[in-house]
Amino acid sequence: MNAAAVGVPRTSRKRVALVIGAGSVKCAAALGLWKVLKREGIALDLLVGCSGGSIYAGVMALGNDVDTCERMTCELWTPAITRKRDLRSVFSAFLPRLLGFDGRFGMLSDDPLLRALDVPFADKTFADTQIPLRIAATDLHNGERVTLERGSIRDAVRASVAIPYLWKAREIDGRWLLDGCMSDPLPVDIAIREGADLILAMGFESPYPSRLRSATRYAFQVNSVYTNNLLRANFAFHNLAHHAEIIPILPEFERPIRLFDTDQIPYVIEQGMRAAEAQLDYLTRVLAADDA
Amino acid sequence: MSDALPAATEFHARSMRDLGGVLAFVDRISAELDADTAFSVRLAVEEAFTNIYEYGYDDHEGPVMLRIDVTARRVVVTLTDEAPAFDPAEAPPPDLESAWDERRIGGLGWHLIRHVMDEVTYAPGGKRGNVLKLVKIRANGQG
Amino acid sequence: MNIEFESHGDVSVVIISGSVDGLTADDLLKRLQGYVAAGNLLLVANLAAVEYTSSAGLRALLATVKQARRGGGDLRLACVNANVRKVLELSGFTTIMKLFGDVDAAIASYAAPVRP
Repeated sequence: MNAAAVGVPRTSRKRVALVIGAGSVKCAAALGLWKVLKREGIALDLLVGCSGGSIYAGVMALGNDVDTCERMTCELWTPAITRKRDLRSVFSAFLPRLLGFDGRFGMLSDDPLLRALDVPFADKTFADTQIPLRIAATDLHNGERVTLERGSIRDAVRASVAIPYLWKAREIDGRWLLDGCMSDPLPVDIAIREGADLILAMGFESPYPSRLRSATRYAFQVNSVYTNNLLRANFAFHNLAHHAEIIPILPEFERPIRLFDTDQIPYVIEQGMRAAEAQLDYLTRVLAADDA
Repeated sequence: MSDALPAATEFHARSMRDLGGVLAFVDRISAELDADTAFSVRLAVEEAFTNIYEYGYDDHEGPVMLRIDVTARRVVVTLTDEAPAFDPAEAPPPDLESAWDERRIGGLGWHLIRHVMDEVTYAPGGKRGNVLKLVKIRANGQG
Repeated sequence: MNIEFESHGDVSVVIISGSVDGLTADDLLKRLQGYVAAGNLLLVANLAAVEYTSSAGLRALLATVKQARRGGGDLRLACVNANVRKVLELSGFTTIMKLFGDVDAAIASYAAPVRP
């Protein structure tokens, strides 16, 4: 259809967003996807990260090359970040009246985590990114999604990975924020709101029953990766709400990848590449297609 | 402490085309209600009425009796139809395997009703049909 | 329900007043789709005078948002009142659309620099 004939200006290139959902170390698979995209000359216009995914979205958005990203995140995911307990916090949970339990309980001190996040992010802000970045967190008080898009990236990532009861909620702009995956582990809606045409949705929720891989629209078979009801309800809605295409990129892992399994990162990245290759045909067709 | 029951008012609809009359009826009765209660009642009635015709009567005509009882404490909306029995609590979850189409946004209607009304009760009708009862506690309701 | 159209340079403001429900939503949708088809891709809907919407209104908004985005534009909402906002939140629409407290902010949002 000739857009010019009806006076509708058409951007020449479709805007591509990558949404990296919650999944701790598994999120490194996004680097595998990125390798494939770079090889194919497909640029990203928006990066959205949630929980562990925000770490990868952040390092990618800052324009680091893939190898640097891989190295940074290996250095980040170490048991050291969970070593130092936050004693005051632990006590206040058990003796609330004495020490003032305030709902911001976290068992671990976040000093090691913050120092670990300094490695990739230091004092960088959202304004320093080469690709626009959005990070999802959850407001402690009302359970609502909060989208972070300015200020310190380190603080935003810290807020998004604030796994309840492990680390305390993080205050940003007067709001206490928790792990992004409490409100939505795969925040495709952020990409929809920003107007992305093609959304690559990389999700990792476990466990993995066997499932069909289909190079089709954002549709889930019953044996989907996601057993979380919140996710399933959201996906149906996102499918309805998006004007273009949402392509799931779902890496498979033949063995359990646990938090801090950093020695498995090369394997995780490899699986990310495989998952990307599986959808690459469809992806390129969608990019090339002229919408009616 | 008991609810004094003034005369209830009824509206008899025969098709989706009666939506205008239904909303005018609701607006008349809501004139004495606070804004939030009026909004909730209007929304719940519109969504329930629409769902009965789209899903219950499958876009065909059919009788729907709408009754609204207003007391000092609450507003009770009753919708009675003769459509095949369907309990909104048992409505199947959205079919995730097929692309959602515009029609499925009707599931949204039940979601809205449940949120804006304080009680949603379903019972099968006498010989056939359904009776849906929606209750809203008024913002200024006293014990 | 009443609809007025105002041009603000590249951005178009649609001022809607009254009730957006099963009786009026189709009309609203037709008008909005007409504006988009005519090339007004950067839309702001001023909802200050909209006191009510049902799921019918949501359908109209969603269809318009999708149509505008397909063309590289958007539909952004301004001055949404509390009750209408509640309906948008319950339906998940506040996560997929941009809302602003006033029309000027909504218009200005289209002027934000596009990142490379």
